[in-house]
Amino acid sequence: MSPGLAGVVAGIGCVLVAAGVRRVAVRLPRPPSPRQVSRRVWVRGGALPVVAASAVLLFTRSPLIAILAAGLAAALGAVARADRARREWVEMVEALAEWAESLAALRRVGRELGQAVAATAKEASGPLGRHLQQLAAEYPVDPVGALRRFQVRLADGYADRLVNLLAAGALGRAGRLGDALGIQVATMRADVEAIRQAESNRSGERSQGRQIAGLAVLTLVPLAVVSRDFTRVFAEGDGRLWLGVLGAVFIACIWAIALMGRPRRLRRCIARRDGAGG
Amino acid sequence: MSVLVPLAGIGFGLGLCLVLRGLFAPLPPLQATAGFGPRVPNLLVRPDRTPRPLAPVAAVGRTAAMLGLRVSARERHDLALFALDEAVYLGMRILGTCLGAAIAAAAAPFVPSGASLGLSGTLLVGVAGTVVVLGPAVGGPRLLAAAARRRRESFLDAFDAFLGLLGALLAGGVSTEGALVEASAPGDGWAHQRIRSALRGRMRGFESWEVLALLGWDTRVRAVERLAVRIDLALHEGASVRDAVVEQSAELASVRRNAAREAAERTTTYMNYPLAGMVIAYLGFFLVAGLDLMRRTF
Repeated sequence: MSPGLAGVVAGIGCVLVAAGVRRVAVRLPRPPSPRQVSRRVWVRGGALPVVAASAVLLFTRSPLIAILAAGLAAALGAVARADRARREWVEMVEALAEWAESLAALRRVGRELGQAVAATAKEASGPLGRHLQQLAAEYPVDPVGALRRFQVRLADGYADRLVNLLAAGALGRAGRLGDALGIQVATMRADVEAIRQAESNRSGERSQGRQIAGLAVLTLVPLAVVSRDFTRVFAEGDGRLWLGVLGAVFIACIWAIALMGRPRRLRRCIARRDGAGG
Repeated sequence: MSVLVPLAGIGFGLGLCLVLRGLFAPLPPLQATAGFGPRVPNLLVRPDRTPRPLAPVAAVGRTAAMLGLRVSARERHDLALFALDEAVYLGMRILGTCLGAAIAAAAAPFVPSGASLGLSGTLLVGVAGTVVVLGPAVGGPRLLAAAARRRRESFLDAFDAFLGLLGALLAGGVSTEGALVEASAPGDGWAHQRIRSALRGRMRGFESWEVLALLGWDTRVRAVERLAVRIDLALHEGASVRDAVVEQSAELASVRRNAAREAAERTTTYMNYPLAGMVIAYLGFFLVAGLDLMRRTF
């Protein structure tokens, strides 16, 4: 048996074992959020590495350096996207908590759920504004359907929990809805506070990462341009290998920071039959 | 004669195995000793227990089980979480070990002699073969434990949503049984499906919360067991079931948040490793270029 064939057999074995452990209880796919399927994100995510690679290739005529430049641009883009996604998600959870708090207050003073939804939608702004106005418009026709569509549009675990409560309330099955919403609001606020605390704790690490990446770009690029003699080793056989390895490690570390910075979202429990597509 | 020797060895090994199995008979399941009686094994419905493509693997595992190979109690609970048959798990470990042994044997002729490192080729093959063969046997339980930990976290998230809706339904005047069924309806994740399956598969003589207690015991998710105990106590003492559910929900949210906080702190600590990697790669660039410059200069 050749080593290649042995490798193929080993790979198939690993896949079978992993599939056996993981694929027993099939996990239904979650509906994608509008942001996830946005073509703009793909264009933005892919354009920067292509531009960076083209510019570097034009200047240096080295495919390896062009690939490294593309990787660096993609990794820095991933860090920026992770930061933005985290910020947007925390803003949305806070907006949801505020909306649920308003609903709870209106329910406690005896307003019907439909009236409460309409009243809160009038004042709504920020990340939830458009969705709430759509919900308020659809709610009088089909309350539960409107709530489920709202849930699908938000695509978030906290929204799932709120909508489950509101749907039970709309069907007249839930009691003391104000109290139940208040408990959810308290949970959401405490979770957001914990996320903010964690972000504050790791701000030092983020700042160091940005400084190291900036320092590397600001020192290595001028050095490569000005002192060709110093960097001549990277144009030869072994030196090229070293450049590839060191560059790959640097880029992989930036990717790792981006991956670690992603927020741990609350898992969803949306129902497929409600048009979620999951 | 040459055929008889291995046959005699196999016969001796099997005989010894059967004698040992007779001497150290496996203990009865805990459920059977906890007063639930023989009805319990049918109580929990586990969907997709043995997927069809894994049937040959399960057959290997069953053979191993007949020869006395067992999984630990902890592994059994972890497997219940995946609704995975113990025979499939045993079969995967045995086949993985066989696969590793086959790969080690096939790759042996291609391993360099190792003379340049001062090591004998046999030693290298022996060490590599041991690692490959023991990998599935030793690593399997570790992989399973890690996967089970993630799955329990996922279950707790879903259970948290279940509790939130359960409290509201109970406050709306729905009966405890009805509220349990209704609260498990909106989710289609595996955790909600397991809760629904357990509630659907209950037998006469058991209340819904008792079935949930069994599900919690089976999967070792303590929060589910505690909810069942709280509901049972509230019903027997005449207290409010809704209050019990709300208390359980608050406790679970607090536990979940603490776990998330600890995970975030761990991640913050781990962030130092890529930072160190970036510094090393950056300095490595200067080191390689500087050494080359020195070599060329002097």
